[in-house]
Amino acid sequence: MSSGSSVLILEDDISTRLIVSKSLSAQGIQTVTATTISEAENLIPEHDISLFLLDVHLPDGDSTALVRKLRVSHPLIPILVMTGDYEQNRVAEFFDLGVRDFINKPVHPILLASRVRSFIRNSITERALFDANEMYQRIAHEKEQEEELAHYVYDHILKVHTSKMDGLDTVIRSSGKFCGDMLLSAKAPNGNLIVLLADATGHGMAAALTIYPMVSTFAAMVAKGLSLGAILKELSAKHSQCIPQNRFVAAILLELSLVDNTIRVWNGGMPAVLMFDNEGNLSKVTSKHVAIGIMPDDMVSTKMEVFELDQVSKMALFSDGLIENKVMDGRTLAFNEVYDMIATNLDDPKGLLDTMHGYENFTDDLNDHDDMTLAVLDLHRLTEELKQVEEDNKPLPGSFSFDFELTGSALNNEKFAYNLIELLGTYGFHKDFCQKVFTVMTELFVNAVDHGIFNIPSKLKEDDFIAYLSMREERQATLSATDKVKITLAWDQASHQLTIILGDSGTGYATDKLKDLGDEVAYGRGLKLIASLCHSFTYDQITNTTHVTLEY
Amino acid sequence: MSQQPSVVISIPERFDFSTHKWFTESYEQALEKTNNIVLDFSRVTYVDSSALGMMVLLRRKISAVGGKGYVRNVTGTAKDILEMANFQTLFEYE
Repeated sequence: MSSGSSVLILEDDISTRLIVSKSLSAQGIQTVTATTISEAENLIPEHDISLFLLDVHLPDGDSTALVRKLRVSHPLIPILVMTGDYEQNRVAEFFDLGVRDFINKPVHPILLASRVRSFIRNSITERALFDANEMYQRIAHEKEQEEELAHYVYDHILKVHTSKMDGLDTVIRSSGKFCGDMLLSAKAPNGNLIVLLADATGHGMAAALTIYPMVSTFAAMVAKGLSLGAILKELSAKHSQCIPQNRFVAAILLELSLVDNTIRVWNGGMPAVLMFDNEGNLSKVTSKHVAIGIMPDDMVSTKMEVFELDQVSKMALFSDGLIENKVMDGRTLAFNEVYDMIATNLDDPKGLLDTMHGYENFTDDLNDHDDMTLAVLDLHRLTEELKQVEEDNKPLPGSFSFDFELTGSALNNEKFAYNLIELLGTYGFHKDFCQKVFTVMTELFVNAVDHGIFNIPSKLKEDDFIAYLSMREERQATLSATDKVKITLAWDQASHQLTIILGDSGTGYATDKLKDLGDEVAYGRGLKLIASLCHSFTYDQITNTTHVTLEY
Repeated sequence: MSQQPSVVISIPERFDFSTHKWFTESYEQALEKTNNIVLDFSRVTYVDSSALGMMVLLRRKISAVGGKGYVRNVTGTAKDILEMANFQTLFEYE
């Protein structure tokens, strides 16, 4: 019994009061006594009461009113009422008010103490149960709210990352509120279509949580123009950053490129991708890699399988929920049988999913249904859809021109060209244009420094790269304030041309270059690159400057 | 001679002069284990002629040990540049 708590005795008859309080304290039960209702009402707030023992008729009234109040103020504390024979007709009324039991007068001291003790013990148990239930209710409520939040995020991610495409039909059948499968598709800046089908280990919220981090970055990575291999590496890195080591994501990554006429496929731990050629012959692209999360992310192989886009008519990607644990006429179906069933029923993806769900083996566990996702790609329709991609008409920037002058050891900044291209990127130029400008800028700059300022013979780089490197390093340390490279980068909006003018303080550059240009064989690798990437390429010997233009 | 398992070198976004130290170390380590090297271009966006120079150097080292060099996932301008330089004759595209 909790220490410090007392039984309240409300009894105006002095001898009964004494007998009752003595018999309880003899059993180690503390008591508080009152002779009137108002006295009791004053005492109650000051004590920790474990049980109320009330007489019916008191000098200031009937105790029924008090019982009513106590039921509100102390709902879990038991109330016992002491009654004489003549009051038996009121028993029902008291029970209705919530009184637990009656003690007949005259009271039997030992019996009374035992009953009081028993009621107190029960009420402690009741209290514990009540608290436990309350905690359960609270946890259940919190869980409900968490799930609601998770579901909101889940739905949101799906909506944001799913672009409707004619020729890409997806059906999903989730085993619960959350689906551990996700099918995402997005068009890359170069017009390619990237599709990701991911299936996380397990079911429900845990599975959904496992794929969130990957999925939420997918669209951003595609929009950035990353290649399929780079996307895979990023997905893998993201996964290992955010998700515990025992959770994996099997995935299929696809890239359809109209320009290259290719389909690239990466299958890590998923069922085979079904592929039909133009004659309707079926082939399977089986998993050649393990699921994401199994290998450390720097060990993930980005090896893809490449097919000719115009040779393929239809493809189907699906999660293992479609093929695993399927029973027909009491016999477990082999994967190949299931593959064949899927292959022959792709015209009705929804019906196919229902059929496969019907074959699910129910005997193991009622809840053990896996999520199912099926995506059917009609390559002819998708090709048409991809053709329609009009040039995304980003408004071109107004004209601009930047002048740079690098002197002395500032010439050793290896990130100069890269950062210049980043700057260019902020004006909204296409990535492939920026890539070209990077190469041209780097070649011009390196040529100017290597040959113009360092006087490194241009053939050395081709003949003996190591010797070239060490000579370069040597010269880098001896740069002086008179060594200089000037660069102008100018964009003319009207002519859609980017001009780069680059001059250096050296002298050797000019003759070297002219000789190079005159001699096809000794044409430097760098100069060849510049010539092939630029619209025009001229050299002014008088000012020792190179002028190139690139068309956008 | 049975084919040795290849080692993959994953090249960063910028494959230019600034990567030469890292690149040289990577392939020297790789050549201690194998004579087959795969250059993973998945992440490569920017390429310059130093990269081509480094690749030629690597190709010589691989040939010296009787191995083979492969290029994986090259796309965009990087692909154009490798093809302009006829590098498909030096490295096999996977």
